[in-house]
Amino acid sequence: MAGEVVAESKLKAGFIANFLQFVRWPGNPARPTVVCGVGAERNGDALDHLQESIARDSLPRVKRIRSLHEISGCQAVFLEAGQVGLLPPLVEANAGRPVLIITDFEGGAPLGATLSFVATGGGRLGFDINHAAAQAAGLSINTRLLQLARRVY
Amino acid sequence: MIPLRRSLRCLGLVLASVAGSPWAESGRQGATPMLEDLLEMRVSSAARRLQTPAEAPSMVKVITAGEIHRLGWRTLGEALASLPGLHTSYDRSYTYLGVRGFGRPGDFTSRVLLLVDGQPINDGIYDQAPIGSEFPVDMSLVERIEFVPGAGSVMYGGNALLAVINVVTRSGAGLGKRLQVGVGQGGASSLGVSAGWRDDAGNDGLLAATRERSRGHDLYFESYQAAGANAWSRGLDHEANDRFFAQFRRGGFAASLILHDRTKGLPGGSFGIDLNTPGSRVRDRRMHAHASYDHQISTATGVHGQAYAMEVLYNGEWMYSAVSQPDGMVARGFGGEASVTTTALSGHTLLAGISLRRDTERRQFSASLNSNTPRSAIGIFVQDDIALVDRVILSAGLRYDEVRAGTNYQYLSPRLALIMQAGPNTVVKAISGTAFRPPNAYETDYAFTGTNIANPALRSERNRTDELGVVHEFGGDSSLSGSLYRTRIRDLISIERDPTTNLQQHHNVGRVDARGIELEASSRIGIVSVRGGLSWQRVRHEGGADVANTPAQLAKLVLDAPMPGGLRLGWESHYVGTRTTDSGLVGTTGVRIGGYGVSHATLTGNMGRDTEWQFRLHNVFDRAYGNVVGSEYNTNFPGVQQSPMTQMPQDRRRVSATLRWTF
Repeated sequence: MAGEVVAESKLKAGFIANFLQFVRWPGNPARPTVVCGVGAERNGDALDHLQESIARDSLPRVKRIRSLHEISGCQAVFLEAGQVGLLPPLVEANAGRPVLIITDFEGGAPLGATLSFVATGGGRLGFDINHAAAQAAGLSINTRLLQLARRVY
Repeated sequence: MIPLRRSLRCLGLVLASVAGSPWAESGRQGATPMLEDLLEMRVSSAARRLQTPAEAPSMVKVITAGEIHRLGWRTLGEALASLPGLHTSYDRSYTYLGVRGFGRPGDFTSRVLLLVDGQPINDGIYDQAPIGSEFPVDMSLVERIEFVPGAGSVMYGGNALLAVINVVTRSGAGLGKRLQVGVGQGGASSLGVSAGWRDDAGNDGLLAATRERSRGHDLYFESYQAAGANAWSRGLDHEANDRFFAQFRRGGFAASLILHDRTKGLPGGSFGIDLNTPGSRVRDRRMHAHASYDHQISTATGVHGQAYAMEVLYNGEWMYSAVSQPDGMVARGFGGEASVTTTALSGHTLLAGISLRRDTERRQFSASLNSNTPRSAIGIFVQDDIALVDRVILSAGLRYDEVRAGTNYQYLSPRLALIMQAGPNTVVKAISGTAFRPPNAYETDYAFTGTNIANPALRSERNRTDELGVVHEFGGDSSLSGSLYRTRIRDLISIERDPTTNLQQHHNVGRVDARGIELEASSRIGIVSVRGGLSWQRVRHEGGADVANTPAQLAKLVLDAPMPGGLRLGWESHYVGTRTTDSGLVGTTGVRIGGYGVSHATLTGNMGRDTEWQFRLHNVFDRAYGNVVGSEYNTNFPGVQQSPMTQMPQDRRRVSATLRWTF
């Protein structure tokens, strides 16, 4: 039976909240404290929902940034679909640093993002993982997440 | 994992819907139920369609692995028959798919392109899309089925005349080691073993083998009924299937090998064979090898390449006057495709590619035939999805094909589609496209002394389809989609039986015009998921005759209900409306026969953590009904048949059960 129908932004927020739980950062604490979103601010987007979800929790703070200059202090970065062009400089600038990069567009993972959303048909969402990039960044990805990915690079 | 649950609980509407959903309580226990649930959810189509234009220029339907499992579907055809506008016909040798009412009996579903993970499965001689038990991949290995109706030649060339079916196989991750045994009425037994794994480096593998045997059922054929005549067919409905599947994936690379060996007894007296003489059977062996690679060059541009090889061997034993007449084919070929997709140009998603196929051997042989006509085909295609204004996409595609098989054919297949987001939850699509199909080697070359004669002068079929579709999402989990279409096929190729000589030959029979309306609704009522489809269709020949085997209406109902005690009930009901039998001539309307309704139920449960059982009741209400067969069942040779045989009786109520252990 076809699954439930939900707004895309809410579904993505749910995924991101999961991702943050299944990745361990080096050092102590092994959880991120600041998650940054790069993109145009729109009411009701994935970051809004992520913010809502963690506002009442002890999870990281969500911070919206406009450009890569504001990136210092971000342990996880979510690149919106419109920010495709920022991926190469983001990957380059953070080489070897423990920054989790999630892209809202397919093809991010093979180009160095840690995780990228993909459409898996019939309106469903999945994700690809670049495990090699995660390891190079010192991020440890839970096997469970690796098992559920569509592809692992 | 308490923090995970807590964080998700606060996720607003997503989580509210998860918490109240049967997905959350579907028996998955342990660390991470939520992520698995998220993977099952669907994005409301309005937003999605505009983001994935590759799906856009058609009214695509998707069937998922979960649905296949819970409804107990053992063949591709059973799954497809749940979609609006589709119906299957089984003549106890093969199963044929009717698309939007167009289902010529005995056409081997040659007007539908069947892909497994993108590789074509249709052989080079019959162009057969094997959708019944002749489908070479076990259904438990299917991740999802994508059904793309309409003229698909713009992307896929020949065969994609009425629809494209892409079967996506599952990855090895999460499969574990499995053993499955099954038994059923009619002497049915099955044994399956599979193993899947994925390591942390991303190497993903899957190996599976299944063996199925069935004695089948004794059948009584009224067409052979006469004083003193034996109208029973006993012990001839047997079937054997052996399947093997191996797959490896890593990152953008994937490779697979499919093997299938199927033998089916022929109980029905097609082509004038003896009705109740053991020995008549068909055997089909398939090998499909495939490799594909996806590579992302930049954030805007990706390339895709694939190569495949196939071998399809058919051997038939046909009993005439108790003497076996062998009949067979060897179809060998290989092919490949390369394409590039780029969004480098703002407002455009551009796809361009080239596809090649070479059928190196297309040999057909029998006592009266030995022909071999290799075929080669090349196609180049381009499609641009242009964001015209906000919320409106124009999808324009064009493909050029050249096919050489003794005769040279050239085709140009355009498609235009306008996709509009008409409201926050509504998408409207207007689609117009053309498609083609060159005559296949069976149609041009096949001959069998006494029954069939060749026709090398056949022309290609061409099709134009215009469609208007709407998808609307209601709040919650409900959606409604509708489609209004018209398909016109020129130079339709059909086997016809000459009334005086009784010989069969493929002819271009002129134009046919198919029109119809399809509606589909899906919703969740309490904890029960419901999907229903209704369609009305009419297919007429240019002279006004109704084309055989076109049901006036089709109705579908599919339910998936969690039950107390962790059980799960899958229920489906199908209604196939009145349709006409095959008169042997396309221009002559056959006899109109009444509709039928049939229901199947599947109950799934667990015994302990690693053992799952499934109990299936096929044809719950024990309805007697038949499927329309082609004129090959209508051959009065050598005079035993008393009246035209136009329908093949289908299975009555059957019970089957399977047990599955996961290690």
